[in-house]
Amino acid sequence: MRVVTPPVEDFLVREPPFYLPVSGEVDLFAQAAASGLPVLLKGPTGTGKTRFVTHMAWKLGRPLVTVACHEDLTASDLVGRFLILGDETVWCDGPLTAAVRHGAIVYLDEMVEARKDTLVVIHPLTDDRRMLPVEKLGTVLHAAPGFQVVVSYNPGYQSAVKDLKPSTRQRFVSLDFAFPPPELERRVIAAEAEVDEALADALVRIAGKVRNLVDRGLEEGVSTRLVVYAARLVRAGATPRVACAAAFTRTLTDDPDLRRSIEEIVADFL
Amino acid sequence: MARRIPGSRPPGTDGGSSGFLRRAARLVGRETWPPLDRLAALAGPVARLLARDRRTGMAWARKVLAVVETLGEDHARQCTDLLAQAVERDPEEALRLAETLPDHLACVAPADRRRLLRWVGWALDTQPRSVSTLVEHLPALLPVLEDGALRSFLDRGLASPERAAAFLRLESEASREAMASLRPGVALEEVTRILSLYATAHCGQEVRIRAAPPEPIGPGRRGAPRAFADGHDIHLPARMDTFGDGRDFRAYRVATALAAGMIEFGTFDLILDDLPGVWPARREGEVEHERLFRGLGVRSLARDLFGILEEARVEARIEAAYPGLARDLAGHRADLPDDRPPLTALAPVDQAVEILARRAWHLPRRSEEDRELDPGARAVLAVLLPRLERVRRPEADVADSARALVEVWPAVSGLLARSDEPVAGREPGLDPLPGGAQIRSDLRDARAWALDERALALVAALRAVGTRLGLGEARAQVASSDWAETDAWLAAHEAPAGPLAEARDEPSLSPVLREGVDPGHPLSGAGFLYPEWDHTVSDRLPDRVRVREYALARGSSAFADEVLDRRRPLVAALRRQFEALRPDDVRRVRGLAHGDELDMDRVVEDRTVRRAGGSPSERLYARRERADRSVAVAFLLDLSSSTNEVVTGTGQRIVDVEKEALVLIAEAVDALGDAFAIWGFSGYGREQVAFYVAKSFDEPWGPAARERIGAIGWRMENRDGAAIRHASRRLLERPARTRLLVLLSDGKPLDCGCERYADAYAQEDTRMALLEARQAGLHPFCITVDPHSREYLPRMYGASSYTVIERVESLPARLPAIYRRLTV
Ligand SMILES: Nc1ncnc2c1ncn2[C@@H]1O[C@H](COP(=O)(O)OP(=O)(O)OP(=O)(O)O)[C@@H](O)[C@H]1O
Ligand SMILES: [Mg+2]
Repeated sequence: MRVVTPPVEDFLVREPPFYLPVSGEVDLFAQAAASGLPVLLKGPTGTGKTRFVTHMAWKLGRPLVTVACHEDLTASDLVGRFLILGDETVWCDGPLTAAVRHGAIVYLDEMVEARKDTLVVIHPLTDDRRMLPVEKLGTVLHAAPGFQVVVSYNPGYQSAVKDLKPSTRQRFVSLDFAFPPPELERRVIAAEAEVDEALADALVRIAGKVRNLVDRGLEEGVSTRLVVYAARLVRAGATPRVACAAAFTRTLTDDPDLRRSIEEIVADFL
Repeated sequence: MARRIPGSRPPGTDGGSSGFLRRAARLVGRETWPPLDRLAALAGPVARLLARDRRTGMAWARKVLAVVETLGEDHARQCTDLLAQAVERDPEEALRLAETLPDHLACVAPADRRRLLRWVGWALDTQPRSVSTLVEHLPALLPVLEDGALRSFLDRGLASPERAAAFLRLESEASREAMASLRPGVALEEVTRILSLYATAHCGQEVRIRAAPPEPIGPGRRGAPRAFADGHDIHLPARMDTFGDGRDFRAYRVATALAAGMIEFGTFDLILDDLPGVWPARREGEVEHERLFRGLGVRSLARDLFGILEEARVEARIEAAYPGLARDLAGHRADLPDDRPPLTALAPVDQAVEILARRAWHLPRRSEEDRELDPGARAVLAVLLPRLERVRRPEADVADSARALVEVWPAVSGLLARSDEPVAGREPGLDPLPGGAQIRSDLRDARAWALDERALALVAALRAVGTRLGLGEARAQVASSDWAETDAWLAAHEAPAGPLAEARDEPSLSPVLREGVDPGHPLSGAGFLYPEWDHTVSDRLPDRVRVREYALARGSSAFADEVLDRRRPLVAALRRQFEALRPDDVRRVRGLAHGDELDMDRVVEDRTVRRAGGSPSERLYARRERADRSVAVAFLLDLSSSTNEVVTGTGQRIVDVEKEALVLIAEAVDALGDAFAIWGFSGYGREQVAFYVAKSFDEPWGPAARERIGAIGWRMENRDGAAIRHASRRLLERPARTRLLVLLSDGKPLDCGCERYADAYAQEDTRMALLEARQAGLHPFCITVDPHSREYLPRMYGASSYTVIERVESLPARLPAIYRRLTV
């Protein structure tokens, strides 16, 4: 029977992705990779988790297989399934299996979104067995050197039914992601949106002030991603005020008082 | 002034009317003779009034003398004339008017008295039946509405005499709207939340906006709208109407920004002992800069100079950091009239202060400065102005302002000593420029004082061991950890005396806690004993608290009915939304021998296996099945007495808002089909923690449960740890895959009954109870409406299992959304 595995070229990161290290996470990740340890990236949305993994895959020269987790993701979706092509029956590797064969980094984005019974398939891959039983093929695959599981997790989503099980959590070394300190965030913005330092600085400082309103009506602060968005809007011709209204104020809240206070903060800087 | 002229008969008084006056005076029982000369002109009109209506005439004759004396003859005559008109129109109203008009007239500013009388005349012509009601409220209305606006307001309000009183008292909805639309300017209430969020964002700490005490209006002082900063809260005038347009909001914003800047840029972070010099010992409840002023001697002068320098320093920092704000600040200042006093009116030392202030506020140079400036003041300014420039440098901090003050002090006090004024007489200080911010630590509330005391103690304690900590950081530190209170608590805390068991035989329950409890329902006997976590010894104190469970008595369903009726559209929407959540849980069950659909994966697999010669499978079908959602949720309501507080702006009590939220969430969860219970707790002391059941898991959401929700009311204290432990026990008895404990609270855990359950001890115990619940597999989640909860919540409730409801009144609408997010 034919086995189809997507070619490794599909998973190579070709362009070097820009990533500005914040606090030693690059070294730590490289050390984890060298030791074959799975990594858990924790942090709110838009703090550079995805960018970081892409960057590390490029830096370490590993293929990167990304899976966005969701409620209906099944074990077969990860491992693979039979397909009938004409008269022939073919086995198609799922992303996890492909990663195991290629010795890739497999990135399970927003892992908590997947059901717990789906996630158990990664258990034997995340301890020192480093193997994947493929029941339907009746084989056990041993992960190629370089294979590494990386998952992301946003602790801010407070769903009681979607907590990580301790038995899952305990398989990873963890890295915390947060909004970078202003100095670094400014450089991220300037580089990402190709804007001057002064604009980047104002936007970052606005974001810093608005983040003080978390828990006072705001559920989450302005993410680095949103600051990049605002900067890109300005670069494309929007006035800073309009850009902030679109990227920050309206995105973050519908509460009129909060909106007004954010607008005033924005006005203070421009 | 001679008030009595016994026996004399002043010239020009005609015998007839003064004879009448004597008779009238006798009639109304006055013992002394009125000063006939001053009443002569009024005698005729009063006599005519008496002739026309005896009751009103007598009432007025009794007052008229006092009116002349206090308000002057002109006003007395105008009043008399108005009364004469009034008796023609409505004698009852006239009588009331005679009784009340002078008092109300005396209440308004002298400049507005004639205006008031004009409005009374207008009312007599147009609304004679409402005239006395109107007079009662005119003193409040005149200063806030100009005549045109007042006219529109009264046209709307007096249309119906029955409703006029409520309207004028601003008690009716319509009148508030009318007032808001007619009155120029912005009311603080309308913008409090915006400004407080704005200041909070700037300062990175909770900053409340409060209404400032009215400013004294007197000679040399205008009712200048500006902010007072006390280092914690910002105090603003209740209304800003300097401009009557959009600039009034800008005035609020600029004042708020300056006061917030004082917090952000450390005006209140002075540590006096860092300055060279010997300073008096600190008094309890004294801010560091006040200690400095006391050390210098003439406090009001020191305060003025320091205030100007600090405001200038903070303003320079603001201008550098916030270009947009700097523009607004400059625009705002430019729009204000320069009504500073002329130099000629000032003593030499005040001239120096005045010039310093003008430079600090960027006011233009006046030509008189060259001519009128006292040489002594000029010399002092030569020392002062370079200091002003120095504190404006970007690296200057509050210590630099204080140092500048100390350096100029010899020159300034030397000038003061030369002036004729007595030194202590230099009060009440500098007339402020409108729109600025002034340091006023005396406006702090007890909470802010306590926080600062602890921060200073922390700084001192750390310095004693050679570690330097800024006051600002110290404040942030103690705000989040309550460490000093813990110390105090520890000192006062004694180990429990005697065997606990003794007290326990007696199920003495305070009558307050027993209120509304179902007597037919068996009490939970001896109750349940729970341990408490004592963080000072890092250990559990076994069998420390007793929790008794009570079923609430069925009362009336009026509360729930009213909510369901008033919120009908929301309830319908919620039920729809939550019902829609159900199908999400339909699950595809695979590998069945029979079913609604083929499972393609298995079919393909089966074919492969067949080809390979293996044995075929029959389990090729799948079926959609409604999964058991299997969520059980318990709502646990804090019923401490603080929930009796009225929520500003709504008139509702916190506990009623919470009950309303419970009714709504019950509807939603019922539609969804999750099992739920509604519990409340309060208590007094560790022997009587009361746990109330409004709805148990087993009972349906129906009339009985609704009536019991109606019976929920505030009680005494809240010992959260014990209540959480008991709720956990009850929730764990419930089989479900996800078990959620939702705690609704309005503040810190606190139980002042017998031994104190407060501060760190209570918070650590609560934290431990929640940890235990989590370890037992429950999901505790806390919803709090306490605006200060940021100080203790993150530690007490853990990083991701709580939410702060900013506006209590939004709880009913928010709770279902929170619940959805928690369980979907
Ligand atoms: N340290 C950084 N270096 C470079 N870019 C960064 C950095 N941090 C954040 N960014 C920017 O932020 C954007 C969002 O980052 P990313 O998509 O990786 O976030 P995320 O943490 O994966 O968010 P989510 O949880 O929503 O998936 C990136 O596109 C990048 O522009
Ligand atoms: Mg991502």
